[in-house]
Amino acid sequence: MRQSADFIAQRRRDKKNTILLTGGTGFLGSHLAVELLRRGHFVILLCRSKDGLSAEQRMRQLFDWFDLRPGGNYRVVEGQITQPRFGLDEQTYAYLKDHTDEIFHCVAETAFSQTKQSQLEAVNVEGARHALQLAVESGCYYFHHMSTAYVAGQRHGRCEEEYVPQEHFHNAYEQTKHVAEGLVLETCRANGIRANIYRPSIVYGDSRTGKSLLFNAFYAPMKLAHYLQTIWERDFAENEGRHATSMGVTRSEDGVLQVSIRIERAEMGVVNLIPIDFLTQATLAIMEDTLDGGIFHIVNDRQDTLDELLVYMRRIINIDGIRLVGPGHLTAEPRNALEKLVAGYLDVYQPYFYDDRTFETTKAQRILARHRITCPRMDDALFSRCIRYAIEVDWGRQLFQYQQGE
Amino acid sequence: MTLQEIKGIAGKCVHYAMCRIDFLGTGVCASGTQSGYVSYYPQGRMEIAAALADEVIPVTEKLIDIVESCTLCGKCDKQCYFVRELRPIKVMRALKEHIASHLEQGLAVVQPQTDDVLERLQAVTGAEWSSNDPAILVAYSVDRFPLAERCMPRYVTMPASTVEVQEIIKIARAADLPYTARGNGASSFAVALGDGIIIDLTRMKQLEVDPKTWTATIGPGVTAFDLQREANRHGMRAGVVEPAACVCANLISTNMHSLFSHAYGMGADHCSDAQFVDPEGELYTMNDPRQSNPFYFNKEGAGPNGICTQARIRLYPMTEDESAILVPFPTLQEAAAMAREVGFRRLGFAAGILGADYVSAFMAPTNETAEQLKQLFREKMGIEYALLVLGDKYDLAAVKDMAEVTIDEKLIRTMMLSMPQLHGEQGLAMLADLPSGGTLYKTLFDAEMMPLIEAALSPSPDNIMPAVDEDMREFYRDLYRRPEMTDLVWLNMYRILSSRTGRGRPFFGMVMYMPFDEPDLIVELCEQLGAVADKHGLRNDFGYLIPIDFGKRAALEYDFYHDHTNPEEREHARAAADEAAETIDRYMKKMNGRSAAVVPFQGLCRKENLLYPEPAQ
Repeated sequence: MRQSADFIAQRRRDKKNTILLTGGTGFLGSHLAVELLRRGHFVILLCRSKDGLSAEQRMRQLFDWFDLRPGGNYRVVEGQITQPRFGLDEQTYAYLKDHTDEIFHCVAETAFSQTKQSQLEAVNVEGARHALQLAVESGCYYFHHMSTAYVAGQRHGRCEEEYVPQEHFHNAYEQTKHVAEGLVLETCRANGIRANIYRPSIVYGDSRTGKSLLFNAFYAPMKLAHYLQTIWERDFAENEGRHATSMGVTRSEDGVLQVSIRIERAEMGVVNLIPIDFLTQATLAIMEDTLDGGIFHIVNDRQDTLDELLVYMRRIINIDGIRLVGPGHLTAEPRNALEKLVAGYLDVYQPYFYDDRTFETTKAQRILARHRITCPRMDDALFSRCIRYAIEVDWGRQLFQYQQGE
Repeated sequence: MTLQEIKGIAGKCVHYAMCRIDFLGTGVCASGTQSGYVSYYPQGRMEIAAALADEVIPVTEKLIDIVESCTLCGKCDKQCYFVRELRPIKVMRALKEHIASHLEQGLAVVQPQTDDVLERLQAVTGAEWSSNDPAILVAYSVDRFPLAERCMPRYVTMPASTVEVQEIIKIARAADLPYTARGNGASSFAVALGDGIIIDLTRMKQLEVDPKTWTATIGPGVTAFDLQREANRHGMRAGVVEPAACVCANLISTNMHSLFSHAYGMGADHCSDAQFVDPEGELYTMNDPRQSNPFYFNKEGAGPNGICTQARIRLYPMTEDESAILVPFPTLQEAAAMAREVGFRRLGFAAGILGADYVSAFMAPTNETAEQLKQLFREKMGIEYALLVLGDKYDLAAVKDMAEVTIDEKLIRTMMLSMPQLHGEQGLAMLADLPSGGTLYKTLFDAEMMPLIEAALSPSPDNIMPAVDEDMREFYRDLYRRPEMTDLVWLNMYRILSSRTGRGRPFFGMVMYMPFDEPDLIVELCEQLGAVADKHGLRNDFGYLIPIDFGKRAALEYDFYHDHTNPEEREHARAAADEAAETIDRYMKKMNGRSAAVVPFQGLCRKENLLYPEPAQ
């Protein structure tokens, strides 16, 4: 190993460790970056420019969103994770090599579609390779890799907190994240670098504020339902519901939209949801307590049933008639147009509606218990908080405008 | 504004000559219609403004007349905004201010000197129809083709008859002057430029439709738009291309391939006979027994053997049940396979694959909305290509049957009347922008979803208003209330939307005839051409792929875009054009005679010369 455990512990305690964090403008990466900064670490943020904003401007925008007034303990480096040496010039890359003690590799492409395979490969696999290249070329002694619990692929039942080679996955996202894990473990082992792999389940917004930066996965069904509600309500207001009724959508006397949409899922289908604040606290607790590397599931010990989530949704979205049905139900009676739309929209999430994977948490739990970190339970209030925020920021489109206008 | 300030607008005119046809129902510039010379049209005044700013020409009496004849009616503003988002009225105002100031200051007004050649030309045409005034000449001196430099002619003459053309050629021969015939606009390949006599044929507007023989006899000044309109009045259609182009000039120079080539053919297929004035000033026709082989193809691209002064164009029947359908595809290979089937089975009277770039440019009212629409199609929906088929109800039923998903005319109209919100928060973007990164268009374009799409988009001409400049809003609303503006059959017949291609920056297209049974080769060539353009920093995109001759071959266009007002980009475009030509040549050899690039001035050859060339030795 490049450095002793005592050395690493001392450096962390003294906040003398410089951490390079990739994906600083991403959902998970930004939350971790902000927490690391708040705890006094020096963080080099590797991120890219986008939409006419430089990497630095994007980070400042995010700091505002977090209401963070950072001190001098960070530096933004504009680079491309998909390119060797992040596409940096010699001087900048040399700076990274000279200063990087630990790497927090958070950047990820989270699209599930097969059509995004090349992008997933480029970001999740090649990106990891480029981050590892820096680890090898620099004095880095600890590599932290943000993965996903779903590298377990098409397994059933209990999934261990260890690397298990897999061949079958539900989508290219799972597959590329699994490949990246293998790369991390192999490269770090060969080069005397300690490695932590963090495997969160499905992450949603902040349980305390409802705020989020990303509105996929957990949010997707709600986003679609809210869109349909908006469209149909406008149709009733402006066209007496002409279009809505031709698709079988009616409105009850109390103004509730009535639809007939069946969504197929496993009997008592469940999902494992964790809020971002829990993920952040858990990840940093594990980071601080772990000196020899390991793989950690950061998941909710209480899975939420899809039926419960549907009840919560109904209280916010003014639509009745969405039903969860068991396997085979839809073959008996063919799908109507809206059901086809919903099925198409949620197609890539289908495997998760039948998910029976559970995740071992022994290693993570040992640390989280010591820190008294527990995962908040989803309930009506928490659900509402998150979805209301999503609606306020128009599912991410008004994210920063909203922040400025707050 | 001063001339220097409006030079940026004036220089952006691409000479599509759309200001010379009444494609929006606004009427056409009155002074241009009355005086004939390009200089009296907005297109010419734009060139005059740029030339004055650059001190290329002096102020002459003619120039003053040209400037004063503009009434600032604003028709050109509407036309040019529609095509290029340019506002020529600013240029017209600046020109007036400049001339007023010039006269106020008592500065010189030059009177060009006459000479023997001019007098002889004027004796033939009448004094007003031949000129050597710089203000007239300058409007004929430039082209947007990157390889073309300014070429100032010595005379411009506008004959009214074939006899006058014959006389002019004899004058040119006697004076040992080169001559160049031209129609309305400049050409994409600079073939309308010349340093001798420019023979502007646009006064020769003979146009007679013979319903019994399904033909139209036209003079060289008849535009595609005029011919189509007249043919339509007789319940027929012509297979023409660019609307402002004069059909005769187009015919002899480019083969006139379009989506209609799928059914109507190209090259010699378009006409039953044509009349020419040869370089000696003598008349001949294609059917003249003294002509050895009028359908000959010269791959070296020799100039035309004379000036076409009349053509008898074939017309085709129309039915009441014509409509359009789009078949979206994620890859060119899949689109090509279907287009080939459509060719085999002779479905429809027009068919071709369009790239997302073209489809977006055609459908969207502005460049910005076109870019947004393209992004929606490409990035959110995964649609890169669309096969467009025009046909009767039987054709379209067959295409629907063959395709997994289609976009019918109702949905197309809905989308066209829903911009810019089509890609907005309540538009299709929400549904297309799958959280998973997948694509939903196959579900979305199912007929069952139409009520949802209509509810989401609320299609209306009013929707288009926010996308355009404030003073254009009412005009656009009224324009899009006209059914033809969303009627794909009408729009393709008149091709008024194709002028929007390259709205951001003009393009030059490279056309090749490709074997349709090797779609991978077509894709490969497109990639190679794309790489050439990328290397030179030029925007580039697939243009179209049209099944020809029952789907045996395909006409492929690949486009390079460049800002012709930027010298550096123009230089890159020149270099890229050369390299692209080499690439195309390489592929022609690779395909062993199964492909041929378009060669200017060989437009009237039989298509078989291009599609069935001799195998390479």
